[in-house]
Amino acid sequence: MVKSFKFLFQFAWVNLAAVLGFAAAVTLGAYTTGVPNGAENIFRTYFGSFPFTALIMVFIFAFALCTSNLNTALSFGGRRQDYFWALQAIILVYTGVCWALQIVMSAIPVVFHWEEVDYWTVLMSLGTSSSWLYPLVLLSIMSLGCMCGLASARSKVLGVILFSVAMVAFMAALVLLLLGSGHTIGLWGCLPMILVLVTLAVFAVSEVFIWRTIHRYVVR
Amino acid sequence: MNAAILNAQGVCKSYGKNEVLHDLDLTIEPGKIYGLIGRNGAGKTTLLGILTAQNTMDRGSVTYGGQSVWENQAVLDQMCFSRELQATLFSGQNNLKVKHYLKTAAIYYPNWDQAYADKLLSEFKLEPKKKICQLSKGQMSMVTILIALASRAPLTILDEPAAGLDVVMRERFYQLLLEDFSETGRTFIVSTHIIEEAASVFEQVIILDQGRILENRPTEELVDQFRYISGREDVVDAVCNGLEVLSTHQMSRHKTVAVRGDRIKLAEAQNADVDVSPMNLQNVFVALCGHGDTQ
Repeated sequence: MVKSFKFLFQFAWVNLAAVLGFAAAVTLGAYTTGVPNGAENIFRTYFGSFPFTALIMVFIFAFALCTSNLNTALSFGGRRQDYFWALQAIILVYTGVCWALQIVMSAIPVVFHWEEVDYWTVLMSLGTSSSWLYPLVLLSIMSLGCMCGLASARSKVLGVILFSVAMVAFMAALVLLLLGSGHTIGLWGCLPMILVLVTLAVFAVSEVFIWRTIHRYVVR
Repeated sequence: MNAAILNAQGVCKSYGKNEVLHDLDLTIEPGKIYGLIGRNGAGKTTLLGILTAQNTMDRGSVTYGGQSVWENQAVLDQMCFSRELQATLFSGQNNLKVKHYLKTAAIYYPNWDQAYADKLLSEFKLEPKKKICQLSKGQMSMVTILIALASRAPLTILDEPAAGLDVVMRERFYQLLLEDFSETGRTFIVSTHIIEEAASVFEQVIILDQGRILENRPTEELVDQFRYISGREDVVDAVCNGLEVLSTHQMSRHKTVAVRGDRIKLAEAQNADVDVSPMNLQNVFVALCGHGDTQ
């Protein structure tokens, strides 16, 4: 497993650096363009929507984890089960870093007394380490990304279908994060709970699919 | 686990309804250079993939030193299957860089020789920062050769290593292969379509045809069983009595046949009023696997 983890980590740190770089650029851009004082511009939008942007980025990274990376690792004599567990470790690393980054991002406006902005609610609500919703969504989205990658490698049609499902899952994740941010409306009823259960189910189904598919994977 | 025997027994593999390998048995003995030859679609890459647990099989078993190859890290550490690189992978460009391949090889192969890899990288004039999709076919082959040789794996397999290489590089490859073999004595399996050029390198040849092993024996011993016999039709027919006739080519009353037989029978043919000429490995391969396509 160590070999496969080392192999995946050589790409992971580059990808995580891209996420960190994006966060740094958005924060710096927001700061220099007057967002702390209430300026309305693209940086304010990107800063506030960082949790969603990070989700999209890790989804794309996860896709590659189960296509070219998997193929390369096995072609060099990696074991399938080792790759699966290394993949889990890498997903946890991505989740941990993005979660930590999210906490830092949401702390910036508070620490530096930025002007409060309404649509930063999601960002700000996920600012504590006790907010388990965001890492849960990150894990599910990454598993879904891996599943989409494996499905695409097997069949283009299946890949397109799963990619469409992933888009719906994205929207569901956004709604979940929105509801979890405190903007609860009476009409939602037990929807937040349903969405949490759906997120858990997506994670579980994706993991089973990934496990089974990797174990039967044929190197190209 | 150095110098172990690789053994495949009863291997069957299908892709959908297409059965690619049929109840295949194969033994690879240590310390030899094997040539694996077969026509397009014969199942060479599938077989090599199964031998190294990179491909699944429907039935059968593959062992190395008596241990199953499948998901066995101790065994997989002894093997290197250097595949043909592809410019496209999963409908997209193969954006991995040469340096990523080399770094990955260093991670996975326990005997990886970095100094030798650097030497070959310099000799082949490969740029580590270049993406695989930016390389020519010949350069991709150089990367696979580099990885195979620098892996120092006791069992090293190369799939079409000469594809796209110019004649100078092919000669250099055979030279490097023989140098490495004389130094380390490790086992090589080389799959190729450029048969005659590589024939002198192969100590043993495996001929795969339509998913079955037709031959697995020393190259010289195999080639020595085949002859072309040509002459007047009736004389040739008489001489060929008791020999296995593989192909026939006739122009009016002049007939040429490709035959297989034991040494005594072939020696007898030399005494008749016919021309008897030797075959090379490529001729043997065509005679065995041509199935009339060359007629």
